[in-house]
Amino acid sequence: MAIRYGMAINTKRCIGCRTCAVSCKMENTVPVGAFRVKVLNSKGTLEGDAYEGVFPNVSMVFTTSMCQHCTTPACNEVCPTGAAQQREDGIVFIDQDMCIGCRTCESACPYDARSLNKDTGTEIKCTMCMHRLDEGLTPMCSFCCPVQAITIGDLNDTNSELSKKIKVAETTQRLIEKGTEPNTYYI
Amino acid sequence: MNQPFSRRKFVALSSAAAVTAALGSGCTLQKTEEEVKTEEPKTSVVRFACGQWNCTGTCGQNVYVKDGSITKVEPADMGDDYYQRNICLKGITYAMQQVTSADRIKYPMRRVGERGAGDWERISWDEAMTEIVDKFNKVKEEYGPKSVAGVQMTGNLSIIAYNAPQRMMNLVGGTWISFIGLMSDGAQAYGFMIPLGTSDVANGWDDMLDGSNFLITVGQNIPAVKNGYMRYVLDAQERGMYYAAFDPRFSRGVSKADEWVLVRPGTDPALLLGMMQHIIANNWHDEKYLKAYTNAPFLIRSDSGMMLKQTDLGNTGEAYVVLNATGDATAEPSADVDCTLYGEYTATIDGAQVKCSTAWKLFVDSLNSTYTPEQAADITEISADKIKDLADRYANKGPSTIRVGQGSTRYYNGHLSPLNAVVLALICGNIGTKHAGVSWESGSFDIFGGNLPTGWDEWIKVNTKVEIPDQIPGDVGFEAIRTGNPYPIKALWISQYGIGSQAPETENLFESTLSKLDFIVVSDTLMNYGAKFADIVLPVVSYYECPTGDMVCGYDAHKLLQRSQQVIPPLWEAKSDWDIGRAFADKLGLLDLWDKYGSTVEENMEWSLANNTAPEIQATDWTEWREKGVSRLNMKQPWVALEDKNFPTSTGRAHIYFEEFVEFDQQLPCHSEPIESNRTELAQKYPLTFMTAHPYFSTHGQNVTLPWIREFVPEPTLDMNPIDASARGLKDGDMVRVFNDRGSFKVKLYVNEGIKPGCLNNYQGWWPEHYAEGHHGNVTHYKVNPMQASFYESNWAACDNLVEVEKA
Repeated sequence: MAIRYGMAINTKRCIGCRTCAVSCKMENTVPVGAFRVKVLNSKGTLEGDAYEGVFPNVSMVFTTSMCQHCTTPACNEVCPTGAAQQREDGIVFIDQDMCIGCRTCESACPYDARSLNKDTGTEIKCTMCMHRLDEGLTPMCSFCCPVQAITIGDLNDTNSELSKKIKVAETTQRLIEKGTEPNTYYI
Repeated sequence: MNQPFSRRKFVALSSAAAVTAALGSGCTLQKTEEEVKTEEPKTSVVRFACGQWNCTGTCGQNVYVKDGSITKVEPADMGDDYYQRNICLKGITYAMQQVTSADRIKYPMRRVGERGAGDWERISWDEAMTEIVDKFNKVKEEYGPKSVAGVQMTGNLSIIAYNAPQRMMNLVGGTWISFIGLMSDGAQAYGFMIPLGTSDVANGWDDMLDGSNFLITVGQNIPAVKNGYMRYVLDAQERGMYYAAFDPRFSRGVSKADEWVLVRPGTDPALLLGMMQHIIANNWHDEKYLKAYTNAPFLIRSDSGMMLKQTDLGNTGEAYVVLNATGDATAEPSADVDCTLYGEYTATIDGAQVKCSTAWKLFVDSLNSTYTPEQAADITEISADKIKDLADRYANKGPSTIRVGQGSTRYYNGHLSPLNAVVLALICGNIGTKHAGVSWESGSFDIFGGNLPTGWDEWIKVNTKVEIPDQIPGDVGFEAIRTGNPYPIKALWISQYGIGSQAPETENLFESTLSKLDFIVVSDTLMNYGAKFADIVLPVVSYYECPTGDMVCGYDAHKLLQRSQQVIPPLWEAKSDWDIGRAFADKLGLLDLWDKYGSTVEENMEWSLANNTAPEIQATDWTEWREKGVSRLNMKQPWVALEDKNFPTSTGRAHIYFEEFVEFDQQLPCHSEPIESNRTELAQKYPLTFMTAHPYFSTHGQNVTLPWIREFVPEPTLDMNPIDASARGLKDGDMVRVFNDRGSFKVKLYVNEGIKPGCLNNYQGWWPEHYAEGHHGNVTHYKVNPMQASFYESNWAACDNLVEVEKA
């Protein structure tokens, strides 16, 4: 069966350190103010820590948020230039040469996964580090995560580390009601 | 998913087949075969060791370099099946943003305006060194040979860089101000040294991973300060290990724990005592272990509090005295001879009758009278039932291991927290035992540094013609600067120390102490608050620029010795600490002494390796080490500290009774209220306990200026519980003034449910420049603890502060 890339993010292991976000910036030359990976606190915001519950019954959960590489992405169809595309292996990406930075796709994405790179004037997003995947390398966020909370792999291969993790764990997919069929699983 | 470098590729990367290219002085870069053939021809990869700044991580890095700039860092293979690659946000942002930060000190400079105003003129290295030598000579002539001093902190723990500043001061004599108590970490080490005779007590994380069933962290926030090691905790939890975190804050560590033990600040020692009382009352303790390996059965004289010796009884020999199984005094037992743990004896000493009790009896009686779970509950604000549950789990559902962090030791008697944890472990036979023990972030570092033929002294004290500098604690040094007692210090060279953000009593330190100095030199990488106060400021290289590299020895998890290669040439006119010392020596006409073991870091590193007698080091295959950049030390894996039960104490046993502290009434494990406890009279005026935790986003004063960090942590904030906020009419986001009689600072309030009412937290690391006004250090104090001073040095109790907060 053909490859279908997806992700699992283990929020039980995630320590909210933002190493994924910073390593992504390094690997993909993402300027300050733009993000391909965000680590959201319990309030769903980027800055600082947040706590759920009332003292002393408190919890702190972080959500690593990036493109969910949906099977039916809401973003691509609104692109006026055809820059927003999807590969056969499921990776959603933006052709940087074709993108005019109109940000239409940004508002269409229910996951807030796209942002404007002010340096290039183009829209950017998680490409699952497809340049690394194509060379047999682990995507940078997963490679650098200190607690191995991010797994990226082939959903169609039942023997992939990703498939095995999703199979044994209880998982959720975000905003499934939007009909985007996301391929990122949260443990 | 594959790692970028398979094992095979990694060997190729490091092997002689790799292409090398010279860049800067003596810098060797290596390229992968693959890159040479197919990839960008100008990119090279250099193996580097991060964590030279005392984060205690020491992660291997593969650094990608193009045209003399770092383009990327990746976690490197650790050369060991167990220890995995690691990298974190601190290492990445340092490499990508701090190396080229606008805050870098670029050139040697002389102050031309007021101290701290930031008005400088650029000077040459030669001019700087001439001025330093001239001023030092002038100060010595006027105030005496000891009036010239040096102080360093932990800004660079690479082996040569770390020892260079002290060696530099040894060229001219004078005074060396030690950082042990000043850095606020001394108490943690003392808590191990007092009962065990050593602080080198950390079991490997692999030992916990393999079999611990209960983990207690006492004020240690592993995922924040040791994020690379948190995987071992998570893996062990997935295996079934239960994790209880003692902490007044809902830290990242607590968020992963099975149980939050919400202890009142500074009362962890009482919680541990309550657990011990319950364990002993239920007979869950390990009598055999106590008799064989501790001084619990030793008789203690009621007249002096000292351990009864055979010589006291008119017998010969150095042995102490125990009671045999029938209650008669006898020599200390061997492992297979039984003795009485709980007993009394009347000894005849010089014709007088002296009542004696076993140390165990004194300890148990003290627990029963003062530290029952109910009494401990009153002290700690943890319920007696919970204390009993913890005790039951610790004693009966192990193996149980404890990790103690600085969060619990930065109180006035902070040593009591690790000390009581050790005694808890001892009574259950858990020291030197697999999957148990009590750990902190010590480890193989001591093995490297402490086992040269004469330690590093031989290397440091290279100038035998001047008097060896007086080594004095920080509090004594500051007093000498402030008042001239016991002698004046008038010139100070500060190295590797963000003294403006990481020292006690910030405002007082600068305005009433450092201002008294005739001459201040600061050598640093960043133009921080302390550097701005200098008369001469010297630019130090980033870790990536050190000519010929340096050597980094791993702490607890990584029992690894790593070779950190030079990655890029020194930027601007920065020099390494080694080369600064060399320039100073040259100006003094002592270059031959400085170069005694070689003129480069590499040669000195080689000398230190050749002269290291520690078996852990000696067995290293140095050829392999030079090629791969990493070697595992010759230590059993998983590492269990003190497995041989040879305790380097005065008795050769582990101690639960400490005769040396009778005069301080700390001869038994005890609890002592924080000096600024919220139950003191001072709390009427200043009711809130002010803590400065280590954050996840910086190592001390580093990282906090970097754009990628500031994107998610824009500014310092003060954590306050909503109950305390509403009592003061404060709301989230308010600018508030935090104050006490020592000073104040202004900071943005973060009202949240993650902190115990009555407590405040303000993460350490932020510089005075980052606050609306003042600095969090202004409300701290550096009060001397005579007991600690008698043992080693008084420790800065950085979290033992009472304050009040009002709207600014």
